[in-house]
Amino acid sequence: MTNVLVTGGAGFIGSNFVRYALQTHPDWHVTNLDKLTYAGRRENLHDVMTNPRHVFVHGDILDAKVSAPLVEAADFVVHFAAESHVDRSIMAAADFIKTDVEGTFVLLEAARRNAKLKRFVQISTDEVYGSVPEGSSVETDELRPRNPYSASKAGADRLAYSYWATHDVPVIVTRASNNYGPYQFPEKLIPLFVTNLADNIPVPLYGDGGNVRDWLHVLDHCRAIDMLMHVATNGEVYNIGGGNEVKNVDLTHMILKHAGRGPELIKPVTDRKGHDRRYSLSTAKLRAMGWTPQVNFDQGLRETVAWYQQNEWWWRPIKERDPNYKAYLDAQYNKRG
Amino acid sequence: MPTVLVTGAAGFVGSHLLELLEQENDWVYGWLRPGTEPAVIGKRVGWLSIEMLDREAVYAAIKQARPDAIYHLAGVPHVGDSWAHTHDTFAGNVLATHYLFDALQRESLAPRVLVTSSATVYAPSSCALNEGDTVRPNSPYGTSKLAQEMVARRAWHDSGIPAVIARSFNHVGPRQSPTFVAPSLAKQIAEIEAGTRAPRLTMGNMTSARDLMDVRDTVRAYRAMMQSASPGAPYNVCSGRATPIRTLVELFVSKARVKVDVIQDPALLRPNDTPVVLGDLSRIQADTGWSPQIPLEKTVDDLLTYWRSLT
Repeated sequence: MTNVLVTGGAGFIGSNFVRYALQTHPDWHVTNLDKLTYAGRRENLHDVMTNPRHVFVHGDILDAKVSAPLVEAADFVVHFAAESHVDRSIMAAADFIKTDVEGTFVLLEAARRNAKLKRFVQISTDEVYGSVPEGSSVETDELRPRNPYSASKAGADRLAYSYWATHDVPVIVTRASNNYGPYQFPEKLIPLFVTNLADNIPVPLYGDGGNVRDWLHVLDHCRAIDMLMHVATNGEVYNIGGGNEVKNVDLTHMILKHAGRGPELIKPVTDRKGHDRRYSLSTAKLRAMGWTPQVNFDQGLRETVAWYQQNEWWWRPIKERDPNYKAYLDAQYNKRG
Repeated sequence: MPTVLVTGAAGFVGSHLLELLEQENDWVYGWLRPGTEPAVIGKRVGWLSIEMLDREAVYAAIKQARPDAIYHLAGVPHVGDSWAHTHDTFAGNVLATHYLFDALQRESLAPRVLVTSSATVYAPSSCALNEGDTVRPNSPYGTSKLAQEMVARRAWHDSGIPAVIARSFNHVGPRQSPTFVAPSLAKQIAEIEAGTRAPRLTMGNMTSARDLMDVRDTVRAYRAMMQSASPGAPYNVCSGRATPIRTLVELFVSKARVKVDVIQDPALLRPNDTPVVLGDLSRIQADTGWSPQIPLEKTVDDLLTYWRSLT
C-alpha cells in the first residue's frame, strides 16, 4: 500500500483529487486532512467517505499534533489546504497568512523527519506570477503577486522550495491556472453564475469583463499531479494550464448559452481592487513530459454547467442556509453598484 | 509501487515495453535522447530528455528518480551501420551503460537493471546457441554489446547492482525502422499495394536463417527477467526457431493483395553475414517461466496492417 496524505481534500480540487486517486490507484491508501472551513465540505466526499482506502481526518494543518504524524507516515504529501478566494483575502488577509504560509511551514517541518517521503507536492497557483499583460509565464519568471491571496501562496511556494534546497525534502511546486469542474464552492465565478442563473438571479461581472483567465478542468489537473508525483524532478516548478484563455465576459456568455439564459441577466459590478488583468501559463515543460489536457473546454464547461444544474442538493444548502455565505455575498456584491 | 525507469523508451522496443508496463504499473520514467520524439505517447509515462553520453546529466537524473527497476534499452541498434559509425556504436552502447551504472554506484543505489545485449556477441555457429557458447563478435556492433555485458557484470560483481543481461535475437514488430528486414518487406508490400512502388521486392541474402521473434514476446521476456532472472549471467531471449529469410519473404508475398516478384540485389549483402543464427531458450524458460507465444504469421499480419495504415 502506498500512503498518500492529501491536505484540504474536502475542498474543490482536493476532493476531486481524492476521488481520482482512489479510482486510479487501487494500491493507494488516502488520508485526507481537512479543517472543514466553509469551502471544505463532507458533501464533497459523499461517495468516498465509506471507501476503506480513504480515511478522513477533521483537523487543521496548523495543529502539528494532528498534522505532523500524518506527514511522517506518508509516502506522498499533496498539499492543497489553503485559503483560496482572492476577494476574501482583500477583505481579511490574516487567515491566508496563517493557513497558507504557516500551515505549509508546519507540514514541511514534519516532512524533514520523514526519510521515506517520495514527494511533497506544493500546490501553488498561476496567480503568483501576477498580472501578465502579454506572453506567457514560464516557471523561472519573477513572482509578482499582487493580492494577499497570491502573496500568501507565493510565500508558501518559495518556503516549500527552500525546504528542498536546504533540507533535501523532495518538494515539487505546481502552479495551475483557474480550475473548473464539479464541487467548486459557489463563490467562484462558474458555480456562482450557474447557480444564480438557475434561479434567474443576475450574475455579477467585474468591470469591463475583459479580464483573462486560463481554464483547466480539475480532472486534467489531477492527472498532471498524478504524473508529477511519480516522475518529476525535486526542487522544480511545473506550470499546469488548460490552454483555454478566455475573457470573463466571453466566459459569461458561454455559461449563459449552456444554461439557456439571455444576456439581460448580466449585472456589471465595480471591479475587484487590484484585479489582475490576465494570467497566462506556458506549459511547455509539462507537455514535454507527455502531459496534455484531455478535456475540451467547451465540452467540459457544458458538463460542469449540467452538473450544477443536476446537483442542487449540493449547492442549495450553501446558498440558502449558510449564514456565512450570505454574509459574504452581501459584503462582496450588494455594496457594489 | 516500485519506481520504474525505461531508457531508450522512445524507441521501437521501448514503445512496446511501455505498453506492457502500462497495464500493471503506475507512472514510469521514460528517458529519451534529446531531440527525439516518442514512438507512442503512453498514458502513464513521464518523459525526460536525457543525454546518456553526459555523465553528470545521467547522475543528476538517477539521483532524482532513485529507481527500483531500470530497463536499459537505450543504445545504437543497427549492425550494418556499425562499420561506418563505430564511434557512435561504442559510445551509445558501452559508454552510456557505464555512465548509468556509474551513477547508481555514486548514489549507492542497487536497483535491478536489465541490460539488452545481443546474439551478435556469439561466435557464428550453425547449431542452437546457448549461453555457455564461445563469444566472438564479428561486427563492431557485436563487440560493443559484449563490452556492454561486461560493464553490467562488473556492476553486479563489484558493486552488487543486480544487473540482468538479455542476449536478444532478432525481434520484429510494428514501429520498427524499415532498415530492418521484416519491416522493410512490410513497407514495400504496402507501397506496392498502394501502387506507389513497382511490384517487386529487392532482397539481399535470402539463404540466411534468423531466430525471429515478435517484439511483444521480447518485452514480456524482459519483464519476466526483471522479476526472476539471476544477475550477472546472460540469458538468450529468442524463439528457438530459425526462420530462413526466404521463408519470411514468401510469407509476406503470400499475404500481399497483389502479385509481387522477388529479386536479389548484391549491394544489400553485409560484409560478413552469418548463415544461421538460432538461440537455445531453455535457460530463460527454466529460470523465469517465460516462453514466446506469438506465431510468426501473426507478426507478419500485424506488420502489414501497420505499414498499410501508414501508406
